[in-house]
Amino acid sequence: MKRALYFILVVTFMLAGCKSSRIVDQVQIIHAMGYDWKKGKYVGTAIYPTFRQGPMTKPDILTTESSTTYDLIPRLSSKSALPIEEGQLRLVLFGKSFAKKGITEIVHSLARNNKVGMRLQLAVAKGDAERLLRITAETTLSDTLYLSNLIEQNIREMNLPNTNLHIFLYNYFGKGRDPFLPYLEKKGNFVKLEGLALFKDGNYVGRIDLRQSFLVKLLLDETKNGVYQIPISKNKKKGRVLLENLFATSQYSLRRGREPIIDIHLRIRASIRDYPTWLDLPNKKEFQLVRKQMEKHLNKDITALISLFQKKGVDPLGIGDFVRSHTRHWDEKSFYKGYRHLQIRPHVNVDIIQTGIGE
Amino acid sequence: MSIFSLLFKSNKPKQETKTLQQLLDMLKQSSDFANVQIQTGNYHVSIFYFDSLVDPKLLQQQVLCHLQQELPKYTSFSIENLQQIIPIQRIEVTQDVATIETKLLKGFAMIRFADIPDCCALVNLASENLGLRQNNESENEFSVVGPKVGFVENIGTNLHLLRRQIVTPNLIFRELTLGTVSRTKIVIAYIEGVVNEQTLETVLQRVSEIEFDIVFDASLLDQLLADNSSSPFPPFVSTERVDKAIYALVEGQVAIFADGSPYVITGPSTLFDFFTSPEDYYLPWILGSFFRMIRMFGVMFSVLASPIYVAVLTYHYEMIPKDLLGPIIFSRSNVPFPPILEVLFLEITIELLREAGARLPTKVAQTLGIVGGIVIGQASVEAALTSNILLIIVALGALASFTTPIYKMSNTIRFIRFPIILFAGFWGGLGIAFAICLLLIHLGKLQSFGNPYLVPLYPFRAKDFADSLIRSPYQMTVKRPSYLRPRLLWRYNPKKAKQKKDIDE
Repeated sequence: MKRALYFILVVTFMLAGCKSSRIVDQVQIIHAMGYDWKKGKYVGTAIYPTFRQGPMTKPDILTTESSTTYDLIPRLSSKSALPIEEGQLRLVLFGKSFAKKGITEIVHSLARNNKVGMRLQLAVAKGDAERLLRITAETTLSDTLYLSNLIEQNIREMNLPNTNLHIFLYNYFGKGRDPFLPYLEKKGNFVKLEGLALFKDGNYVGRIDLRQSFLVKLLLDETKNGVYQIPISKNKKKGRVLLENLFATSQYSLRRGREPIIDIHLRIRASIRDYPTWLDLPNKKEFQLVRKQMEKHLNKDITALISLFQKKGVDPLGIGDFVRSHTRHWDEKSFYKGYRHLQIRPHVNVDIIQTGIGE
Repeated sequence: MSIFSLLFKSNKPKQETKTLQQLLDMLKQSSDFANVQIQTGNYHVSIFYFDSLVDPKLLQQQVLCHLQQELPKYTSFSIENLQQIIPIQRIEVTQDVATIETKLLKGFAMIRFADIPDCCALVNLASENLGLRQNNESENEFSVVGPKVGFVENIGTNLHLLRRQIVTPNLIFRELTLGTVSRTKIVIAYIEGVVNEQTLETVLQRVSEIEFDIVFDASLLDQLLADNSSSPFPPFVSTERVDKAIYALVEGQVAIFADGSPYVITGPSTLFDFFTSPEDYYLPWILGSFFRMIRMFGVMFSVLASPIYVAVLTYHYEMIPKDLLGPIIFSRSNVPFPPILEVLFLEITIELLREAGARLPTKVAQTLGIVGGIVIGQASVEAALTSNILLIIVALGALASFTTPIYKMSNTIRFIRFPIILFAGFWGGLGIAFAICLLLIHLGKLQSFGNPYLVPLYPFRAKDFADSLIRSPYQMTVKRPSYLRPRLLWRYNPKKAKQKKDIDE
């Protein structure tokens, strides 16, 4: 008994050398990875920080080409002094051409990779991913985390619906729903968030703008932020009000029948941040008028957005999943055959809670 | 084992029955063995004693003086009547040579009349406080609030301190003598009617079975009495604070005093007993609980902080938050060692400082602390031997280990950090989990006087949590902890305590 114990002890300590250690300052930690499809070849771009010159970090870039996506990271290693480690990866950026060709392979690899976190952000770039990453590395931004911080900030404070690898995988593998990703674009020396890229089975099929992505955000789950501009008119005077979402909830209900109808009840508690000077909001009548016009307008926009989804045959809102949860023997194929003509009716209810300080 | 026991048997000196004359001849070899002969009236009296053990004032004023003045008045005087002229309590008259030997060695004087040379009177002249300190402030277990009286090296004083606060005939002292050379007086104290009989029996049996030569300190007993002597964890609380010892007795524990030791052993103890300070009870319960929890956190931090640093930096860089990655990599970028060597280097430096500080005189130790802490720390960072962040972690870990009120436990905490660091260095986070499992298994198996060491946690006793992790208000700690199996569960009558006496009534 004792001898066996000693044996185990000795063996475990001798075997300890077999585990390769990855000491934090002796690996190349990449923060963002870009994938492109250029001239019949895959291009991988990695961006990593260097910490050697004081507390300021200096971003560096590595690129490589290959005919498959699998050996991009090993090929990057052949250009690097230290072993490349993807454990701190915060962003994977796909070029538009790559996204059109399909991101399935990368997604499968990420889903199985135990090193990367589930809060990793995925995004699509207009044009090349490499060019966007170069902007963040080489211009005044000079921050390896710029793009992932930009996306997270917009999720937290602005119009972008909540996305990360986990949510993407849920939408990707889940039946009756399609994934979406933030869509980024180069604007001069900056990168701008331009809305959402829509996917169908891992292939890019189109995009919506940032205003519409606010509506997606409202329709998906409870949200506490985002702004939306709405045109308003009174006695032939025209203007716009800026609505700021304070708390919004959406509720779906299904009316069964030969032609099923889906009702979406959307309740927005909002504040009006800016409005034209001719509008007298403290006046009850005008207040109601603004409210009615806002509801009408939002209804219209949502209907337009949903019919756009129906026309493209994508389902980022997960309506198929919702119907599946309310139907016995739901069949994906037959549902999406009729998806185009499915009747979806939004019912928006706006509560204006505050309009700023005033009499 | 059998071979050794045979050896010991053959070496054992043969016990011979000595005659009184033989004993005296042997003792006379020592230069401090004095023999005073006086002739008063018809009586020839000889007094034998050890000069170094006897209080000369007592000898002169109470014995010699009275003998010289009173004895001539009697015409016939028997030795049994000595008590009537010598005003010293408990004069013993005996013929037993063995008793005479031990009593002489304890500071008694032997008085013998020439006409009856075999019968001797033994008078206690021992100078109790000779060579002992008078100051009895508790130095090592300091508390800002509450009494500062501590035990001293004199067992008589210690027992007196106990009796003063436990005013009940149920407080029993049982005396034993231990040590073939030192013949140390050991007192086992308990409260009859509260203490569990089985526990008491275990304690008495264990103490009486001890075979040792010199009992220097109670901490020796602590090791000799331990259920598992190869554990780094102290099996019993040893304290120099009177209030702590009294509280343990009242809860139903047993206290063991050894003459010459300012520390008292109380047991059976549990792991939580080592993290309670008397101050917890002197502060309001919310504050007491808060500070107790801080202490527990300190222990966890002290044990785990540097192993986690090693594990994360060697194996799990994925775990580092993105804002911390820069500072960590930057501070480590010039360090030539792997994290485990870096940590061991700094931990051993801190241990050296502590050890040196404990050995040096107080005034030098302060300077050394500053030199060591600031200069060596800063210099080793600047020489790129360690990273800034590690310096903070190790210093905080050392600081946190000092919050443990019992010194023995804080030594244990100092020690168990090192195996965990090695586990973390070899296996990373898995190693830490493994080490903690081993630690818990060990703690779960430990016993203190046959009582489980990890008790309210394992075996689980929900009701005894009142005074473990938190210090509950006094109305919730009316009952004694049930794991001690006390014969009287209630400490006092809770109904009487609840009555609010209104002035108007």
